[in-house]
Amino acid sequence: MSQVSVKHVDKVYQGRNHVLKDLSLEIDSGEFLVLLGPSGCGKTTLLNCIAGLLDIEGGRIEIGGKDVTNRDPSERDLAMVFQSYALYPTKTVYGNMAFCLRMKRKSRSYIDTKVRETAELLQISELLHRKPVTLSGGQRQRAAIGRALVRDAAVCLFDEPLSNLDAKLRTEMRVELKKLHKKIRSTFIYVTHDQVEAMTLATRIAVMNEGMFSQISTPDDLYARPANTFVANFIGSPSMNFVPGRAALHDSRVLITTEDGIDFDVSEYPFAARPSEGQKVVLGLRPELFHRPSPGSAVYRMKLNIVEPLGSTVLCYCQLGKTDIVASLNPTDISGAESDEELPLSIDLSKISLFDEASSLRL
Amino acid sequence: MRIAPEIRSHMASPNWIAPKNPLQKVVAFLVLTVFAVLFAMPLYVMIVTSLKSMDEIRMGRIFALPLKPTLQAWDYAWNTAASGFLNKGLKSGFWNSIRILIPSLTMSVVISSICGYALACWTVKVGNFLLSCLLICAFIPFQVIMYPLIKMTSFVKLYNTSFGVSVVHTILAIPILTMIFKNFFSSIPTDLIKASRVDGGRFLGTFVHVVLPLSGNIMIVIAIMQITGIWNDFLVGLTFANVSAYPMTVNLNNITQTQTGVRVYNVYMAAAMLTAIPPLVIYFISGKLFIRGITAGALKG
Amino acid sequence: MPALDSPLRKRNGFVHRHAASLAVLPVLVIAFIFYFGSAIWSMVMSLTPSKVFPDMTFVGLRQYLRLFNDNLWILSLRNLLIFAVGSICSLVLGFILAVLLDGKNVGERIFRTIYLYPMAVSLIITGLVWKWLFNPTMGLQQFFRDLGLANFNFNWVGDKHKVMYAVLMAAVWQSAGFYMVLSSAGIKGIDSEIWQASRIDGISKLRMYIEVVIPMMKFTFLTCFVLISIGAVKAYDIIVAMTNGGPGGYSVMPSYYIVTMYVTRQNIAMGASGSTIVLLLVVACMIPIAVVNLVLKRKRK
Repeated sequence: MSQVSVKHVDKVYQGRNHVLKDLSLEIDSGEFLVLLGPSGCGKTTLLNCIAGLLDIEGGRIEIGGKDVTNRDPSERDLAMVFQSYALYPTKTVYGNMAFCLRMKRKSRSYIDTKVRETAELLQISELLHRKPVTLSGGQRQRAAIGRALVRDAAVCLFDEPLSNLDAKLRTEMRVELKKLHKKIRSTFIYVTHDQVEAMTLATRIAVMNEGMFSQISTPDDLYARPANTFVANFIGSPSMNFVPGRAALHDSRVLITTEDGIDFDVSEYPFAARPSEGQKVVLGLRPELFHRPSPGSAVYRMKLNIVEPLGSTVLCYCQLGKTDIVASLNPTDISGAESDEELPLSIDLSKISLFDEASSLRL
Repeated sequence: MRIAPEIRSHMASPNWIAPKNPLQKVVAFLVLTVFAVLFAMPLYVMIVTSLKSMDEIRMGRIFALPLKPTLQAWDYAWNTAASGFLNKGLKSGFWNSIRILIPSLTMSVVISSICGYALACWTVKVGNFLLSCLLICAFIPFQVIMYPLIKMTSFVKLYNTSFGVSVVHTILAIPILTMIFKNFFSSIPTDLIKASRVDGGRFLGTFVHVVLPLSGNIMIVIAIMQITGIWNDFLVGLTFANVSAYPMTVNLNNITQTQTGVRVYNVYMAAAMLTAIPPLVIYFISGKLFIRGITAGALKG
Repeated sequence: MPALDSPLRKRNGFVHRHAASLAVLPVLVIAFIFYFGSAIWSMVMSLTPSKVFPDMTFVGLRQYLRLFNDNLWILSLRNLLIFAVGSICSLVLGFILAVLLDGKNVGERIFRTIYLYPMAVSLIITGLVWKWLFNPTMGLQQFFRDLGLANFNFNWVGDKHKVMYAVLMAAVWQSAGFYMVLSSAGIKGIDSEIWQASRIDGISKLRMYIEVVIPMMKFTFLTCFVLISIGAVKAYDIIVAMTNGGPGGYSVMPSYYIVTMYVTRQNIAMGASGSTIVLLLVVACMIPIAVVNLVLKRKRK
């Protein structure tokens, strides 16, 4: 039995704006599920629907097996951490964390123990008597998480909690969150537009686009086997290169030929359905699949435009025929190469992705 | 994170608090309606009483609609009611109020806007000191400066004149108006002013060509605030004007406080309505700007 | 915002070089002569035995003794207190209305318009209408008696123990809308995410208002208290229109007393001493705000 069930949820704003379209998702207990997508895709809306802050126009939401679709947020056994922390400014950190427990009429000693335990877990014990305005961004973040965790709710929702922090703090807090999740083992549902956050934190990621799920899977799976061009493009930085072409079938071999006449032998590709002759496809090549030509593999002649040295890798902006390609290479692979010169590279064809051009779906 | 405006405004309203509690909404609505009736009641009574005849009024049914509505009381109040020693009715007061209003409005706005502009956009040595002084001045009650003002205005022969009243209104308005203008002009980007100076504009030039065109909103708000305040004023008009220059509010009070003769409440109410109509019209037309006007005046403290 | 210097040097004349300072000069003069000068004059006069004309003999605090021996003055101070405390009802009512109106309810604009219109109207009119409502034979008292409540007494204006409450009712009617606007502004300043958090935490609306909203609006309420005090000190028009200080002086307020001293009784020294006391009271009210401001400034550093 899954912890959170989203069943065929529809959300329409003011009768016109169909923001969430027939979404279904099962989240297991203890999962760290990330809702990932670009701005406006509906991820925060979905989170708010799960929380009960927004009503849904169709479908059901179940938490812990119980139908909570018509229940108030406070009756859904959830806690939530907000983007701007939403700490009560006139209360101390202790007061913030204790407020909800006081409403539930817990005893003073219970509240005190619970608050101090949670503060200890988040390393904010020395901050308990301070008011939010005197805290730094990172400290407020911890206080907000503390307020959520002190309730021992089954599910904890996060609405882009790290987006208001500076880059360095964000990286630190990411690690903290991951450790936290390991320790307390409740179900986390986390919204972000940052794919690095998603990839590093999640046990599973639900990629959303325009109110629908593009793919729901583990980070590795999403990276190596994206289900469509949207996911393929969204995940991974620098993003995947797309080379359009046509399929050509020769006995047991499958070749993809680009407009410029360049061939790719993709016979080893694990096709779900073999392409038809002449079918328009898109070849997805991640930048790190390019390497110095090795014996036995096909060599592709790229024209090198610009080189961006990043230290451990070098980004090469090249052209293969008419297509722009970004390749991520070892500095040693590229030594001696000059701009506007020809750069011969090989591609690790075992890790490519192929998509049908018309439907954008993975073949 | 980008959220469509209509969605964000929907999320912002604390309807989120109790969307599933229609009972609360109904109770709130009922309470609001009860208060609305209580608030509207005096205006209703004013209008209704002014349209009745004295016989009807003496019957004592204050909320009843007039049996035979008549504008006789209004006509009397406007044209012939005794106000002071003259039987010229409220209309003289009406024109006096306008005569007082226009110079006050002009002088106070001109002086305080230019001063506020100087304080906001230029360096003035005593600038901050002046602002603190103005803050203090804004709190000094009129009664404290009333008598010396009387002495000073009579010294320059402005006492007991309509223009004298305008001068006093200007003096009373300047601290608050200057602070409001200064705050507003401070929000104009310095780059605009720098650009104007590079283009050759000087103090007044920059004011007229750069700052004023951006000030439409604040000017309207200030105008509403001043017009309402000056029109509704009583004490300054009473003290500093002579009998023939009394503003409408003073006339109104004189009409209603006559100790001799019969008390004609319909005339009193009609007179009150006539005095109330100009600011009420401005209020109903200007809506939000009116609110901004009064809060601007208040929040400068 | 960095203000601009005027490096307008040799090719510009005196006026242009000092344009900003010249712009500020009239206001500076007004502040010093008409405000500070008048305040000092009043304080000096209060130490003299001046009656109709200024008399510069120094008599120490004798006038203050006479002042505080005058029952009417003591009454006016008592009434000032009653008025100020009672005006808190205006703030409470305004706050409640603001709370009820929060959220996109039906007819929000109409309700706000109705609650606020009394502010647009002169206090003379307010006093007049409410005096009429309190009329024993033709006003509300008669209305309730006609309904069957034979001995209903609503003749508060004629009752020296209840007259201040009548005045207060009129004053609350006039100003509640204003405090509603200020409260609404304070409530709207609360981040919507805080409301959402309270829904998740299951905190009732009432609790939210008591434990979160009201504490968050501390500064707004402080401003309101200051405005209430200043309003009480300034209250003149409404007394004139409604009761003329009666019955028997039981609705006299300090500003009314002072004006009467100056104008009717022609006693400059008494008027001046009353003004000085009032000035001191206002300063006393300003102290909490000044203190809060300093504390806030220090906290920010």
